[in-house]
Amino acid sequence: MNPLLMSLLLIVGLAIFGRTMVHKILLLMALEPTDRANHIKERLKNMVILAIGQKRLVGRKKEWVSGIMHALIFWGFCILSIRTLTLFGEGFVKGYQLPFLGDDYVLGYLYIALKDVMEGIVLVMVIYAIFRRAFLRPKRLHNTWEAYFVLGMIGFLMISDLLLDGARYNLILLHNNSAQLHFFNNAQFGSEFLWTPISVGAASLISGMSAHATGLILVGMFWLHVITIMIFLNFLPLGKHFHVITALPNVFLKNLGYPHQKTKLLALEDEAAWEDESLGINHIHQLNWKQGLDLYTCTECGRCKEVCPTYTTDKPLNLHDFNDKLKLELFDNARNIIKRAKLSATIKQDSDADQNAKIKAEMAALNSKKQLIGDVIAEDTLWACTTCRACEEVCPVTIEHVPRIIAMRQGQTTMAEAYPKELNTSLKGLERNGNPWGIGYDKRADWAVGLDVKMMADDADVDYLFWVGCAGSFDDRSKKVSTSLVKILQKAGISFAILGVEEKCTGDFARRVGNEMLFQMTAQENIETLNNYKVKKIITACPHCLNTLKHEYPQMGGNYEVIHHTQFIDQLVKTGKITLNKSLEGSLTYHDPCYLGRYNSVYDQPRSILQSISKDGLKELNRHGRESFCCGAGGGRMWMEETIGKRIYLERAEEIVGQQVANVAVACPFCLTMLEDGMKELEKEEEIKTQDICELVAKNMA
Amino acid sequence: MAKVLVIADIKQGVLKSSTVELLSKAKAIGAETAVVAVGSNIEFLTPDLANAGSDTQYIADDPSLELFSAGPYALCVVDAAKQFGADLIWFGFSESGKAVAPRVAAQMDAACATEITDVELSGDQVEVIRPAITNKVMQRVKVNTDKLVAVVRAGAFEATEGITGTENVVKLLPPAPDSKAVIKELVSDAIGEIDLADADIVISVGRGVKDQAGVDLVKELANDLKAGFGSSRAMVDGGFMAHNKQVGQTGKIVAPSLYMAIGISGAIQHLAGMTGSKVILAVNKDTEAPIFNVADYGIVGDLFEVVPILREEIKKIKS
Amino acid sequence: MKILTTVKKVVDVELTMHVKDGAIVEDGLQYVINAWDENAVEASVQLKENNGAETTLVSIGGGDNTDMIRRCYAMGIENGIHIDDPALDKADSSIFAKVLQKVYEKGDYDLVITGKQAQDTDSGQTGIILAEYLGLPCVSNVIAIEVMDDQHIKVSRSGDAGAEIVELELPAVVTVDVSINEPRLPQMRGIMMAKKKTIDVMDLAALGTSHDEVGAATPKSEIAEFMTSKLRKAGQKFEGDAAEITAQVVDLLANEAKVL
Repeated sequence: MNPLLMSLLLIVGLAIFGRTMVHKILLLMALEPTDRANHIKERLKNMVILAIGQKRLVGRKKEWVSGIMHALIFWGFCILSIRTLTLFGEGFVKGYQLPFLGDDYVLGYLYIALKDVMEGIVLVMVIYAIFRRAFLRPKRLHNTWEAYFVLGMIGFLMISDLLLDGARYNLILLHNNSAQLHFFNNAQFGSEFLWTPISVGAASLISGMSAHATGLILVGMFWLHVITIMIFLNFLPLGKHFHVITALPNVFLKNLGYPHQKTKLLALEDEAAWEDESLGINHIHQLNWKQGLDLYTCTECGRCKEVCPTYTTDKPLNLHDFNDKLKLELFDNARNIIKRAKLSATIKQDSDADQNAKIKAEMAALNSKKQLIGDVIAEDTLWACTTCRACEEVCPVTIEHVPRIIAMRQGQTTMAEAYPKELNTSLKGLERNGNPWGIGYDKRADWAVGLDVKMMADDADVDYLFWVGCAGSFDDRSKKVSTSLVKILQKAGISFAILGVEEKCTGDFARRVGNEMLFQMTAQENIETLNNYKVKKIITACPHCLNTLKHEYPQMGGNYEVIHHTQFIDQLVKTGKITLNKSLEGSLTYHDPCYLGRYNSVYDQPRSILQSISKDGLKELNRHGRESFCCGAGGGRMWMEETIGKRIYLERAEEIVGQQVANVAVACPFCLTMLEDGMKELEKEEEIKTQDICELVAKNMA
Repeated sequence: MAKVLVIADIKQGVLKSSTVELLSKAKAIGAETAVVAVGSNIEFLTPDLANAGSDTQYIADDPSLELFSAGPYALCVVDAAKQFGADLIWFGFSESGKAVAPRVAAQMDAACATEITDVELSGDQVEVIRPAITNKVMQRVKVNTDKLVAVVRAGAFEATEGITGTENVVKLLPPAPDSKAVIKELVSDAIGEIDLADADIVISVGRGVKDQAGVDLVKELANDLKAGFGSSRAMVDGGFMAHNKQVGQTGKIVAPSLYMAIGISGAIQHLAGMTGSKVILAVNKDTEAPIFNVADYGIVGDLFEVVPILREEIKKIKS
Repeated sequence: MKILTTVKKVVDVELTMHVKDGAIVEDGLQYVINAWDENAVEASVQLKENNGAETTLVSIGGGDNTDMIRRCYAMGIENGIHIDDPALDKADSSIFAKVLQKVYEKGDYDLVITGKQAQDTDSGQTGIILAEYLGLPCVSNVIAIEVMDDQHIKVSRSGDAGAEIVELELPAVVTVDVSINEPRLPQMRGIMMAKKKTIDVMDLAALGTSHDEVGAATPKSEIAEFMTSKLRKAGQKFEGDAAEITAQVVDLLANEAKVL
């Protein structure tokens, strides 16, 4: 068309884009390091399934239609990027074709057909998207001018390209191709226009125009299209559509081996860390680059909000808002963060101490003027989270929300000494007597009296350690679960013992509320005890204990094979050590605990067990499995009062009551307490029995 | 024969039951008894003081003694003790008693024992029994001095029916007020409210009553029985009951004839405040609640149903 | 203002106490700071933070009190004295008070804050007797402290008839009740700094006194033996129709227990 103009457009457009991107990348590089360059194969697999395959959109039953809508726009986008390159080429050379996609190849024809259809589909999807946003107004959507602008641009890109081809068609077939335009016309495959019905359709819309006008449309649409692409490209990094560029890398770089980045083990004795306030996340520059990339990638889709138990019950934790506020803070301080990183690189171990101190002072002066917790993120927001991971499970671009919250809580507790003081009672109880209720440690094994349970202190030569947990040892209701599990283990002839008074709280809740000091203290003591007894295999009845023992104790030298009782019972059944009777009367449903399901991917074994004992089968709750609704006790919230909004446990209890079942099975002592309380409050405790799977199995064993 | 001086417990012009209980015990161990009363406008109580079982009444009656102040009160007690030649000086269980007793002991170079539940005399040797470690153990304490100052636990001693004494008043000179600890004001409890420490029947509410409506429901029952109305810590923390209504380890320790725990689970801290009661009745929805482990009579049920029935049945019995 | 706070190490009352042969079984017991003294420490630290007071704690006996004292340092106490002398093993309240008197006289304190009682003895005497020995004004069972000026504080005491507001002339002794404040939990930063602080450990001689002077050999009272508490036993529990069982119980209260 016009090589000069094309060059100019490309150079200017790409230069601006390049500059923006370089700045964005420099900013990420200035953040804290993290190791994600590993397991390339697995990462590619994730990227293909989640990002390219759009699994969390298309594969999610809820909002399947809008999922398809977006997937089609995205896939269309990918396919049409080839077209974009062709058009750029056309700007330089008339009739430019990409290798293997010219009219000599069937691939070329297939491509133009595909392109044509996709343009039509994308256009329809864009129209639907605009309609949905403007009229259907789904609650989770954040309706901004940016959204409409981008949809408009995409729509325009489709329209302009279709009209471009439409004008071509008209010029070639109606006006005898006076401009000598190139088109596919291979003897074997026929005319290009046999393969592009939609463009032909567009052509018929403008067929009444003169050759001259059509020519103008052709040229006009071409340049408008190319200019729009350049604008679009440069607009992307400025807002939520940055995800168009960063989503694939973000999914590629997602944490492997555990649903999200594990909580950092803080070096509490490190003086230097105290000095630059780097214990936990206290300043925006302390995010690591992956967390920065997460912020770039948030599409503001609001799915996280929808499934968040705190947001749903009117607490001030709005996750995409959380992302947005952090992102703004990050961008506000971008220049300083980059400067700071440069200064940091100049600090050498062996140089003058005074010199280093000077550099550090300069660095400190570059800190954000805003308090991260207080000005940027509200305190109530930070502490409202139950760490249930529902947000992470539905996020289409695999943002890791929870680790940031834990890290900020670590910072607040350690450096600012600002945490909900109502936690003091349970923290003190943990410190003094190894359980959040503060009940004398000497009573930890009282529940087992008369049950013929072995203590490790008497005989450590057993196959399994039954880790009872604080609830199972001290809470009257949960003691029954411990007793039931003992019954099952004894029936199956399993060789096991308990630690009894030597067991201390795993420290789960201490960690979740950011109290690294107490977590490390109790973990250290437990690990010593466990290692002294050379414990290898642990069975636990509490998913929080499971999660901490299995995934966090290795950080401190405790490596054990830990499984939850539902997994173990399932094994027992499968190996014939116990037999289940289908004798449970009444309809039954199962409430997936967050720490068993979303944290440890155990969904099937509990169901398999329940199916085997329930006469009436198993009815699923609306929000079940990976989208189960939290009982509200996680994240240390069990030990805090819920003063804002509706009680989370009531929300879930109401859902269960709505299901009209006679029994609800749980697999976690927190869920058991919260749901039973919910039933009591709704006055349904006679109608609906809440029981742990252990109790149900013990009652329905052969 | 030992000489026992009992400090009279007077509140709002009324002689509290601890006085007669302590004097009864004194007489039971064969001691000569006297009582000391400190306050303002209390002389008219002389007959009551005598009938409570004292053979001499030391009275310090002065306007300057109207509001409690530990210093001057202690001086009066020491004065009476010296004049009487007391060997044993007993206070009833009250905050004033706890504040004054150690002072008296220090001034008289005597041993001091608080919260005693029994006293044993064998010849010259005096031993007291008292609880320790939050009521988890009992101590037998040997007294090495020839005098003992003690604060007696609520309800530890029993009043003897038909006890009598002699009127024999000795007026004490009021001491100089404590210039360094000046009482500025007394923010008093509501007048007319039945004192928990004194009531024959005490009814307490716990978390189970849920809210103000529940509190009011049980208050009706307390009114019917003219009982003291108390609370577990939960309802005080929740703002439904005043701080001074809390029965428990960190609140008031009571020992009435009948204690009703309504909607109280029975945490150890609360039990510490009421296990001295003669009879305990508990009403709770949860059959596993620890309160049933100490209750003589337990009703497992919804208190909102049970309390109205209790009122009805009690009305029937009373008529 | 200089404040002296007393801190006692006591057995953790959450544990079950077993009594054998007239003594408490030591096996398995753990020792912690007396709860009321923790309130005293918190009150002192608050006075430091709000009124610029200088704080010192004193602890007597108890063996190695380092952990407990460091914990108090982490809460904010600046100085610590530990009087460790085997002669004080059988000390009673008066002897403790005498030792505290010596500690007080060695310093230049304006205010002594103690917990109102110790969780092991539940006596509640030491602070008051100390005030008598020192000839200082004293208010016990305090639930609020307000500084008026260099020479006066105003306290609120929980008395029999209500809250007694007393103005004290300094120097004075105050014993505090648990409802005065919520003791803070020592945090990491404080704990790390506490490790660097020293504790002034002295025996009676170093304190400038002697066994005889404090009367260590002649306690006014001593514990002859420990006995188990008489536990209340569970009585009769009734379940069933509310009307029926309530009527039954009322009948029993009136005719069996005779309390109605």
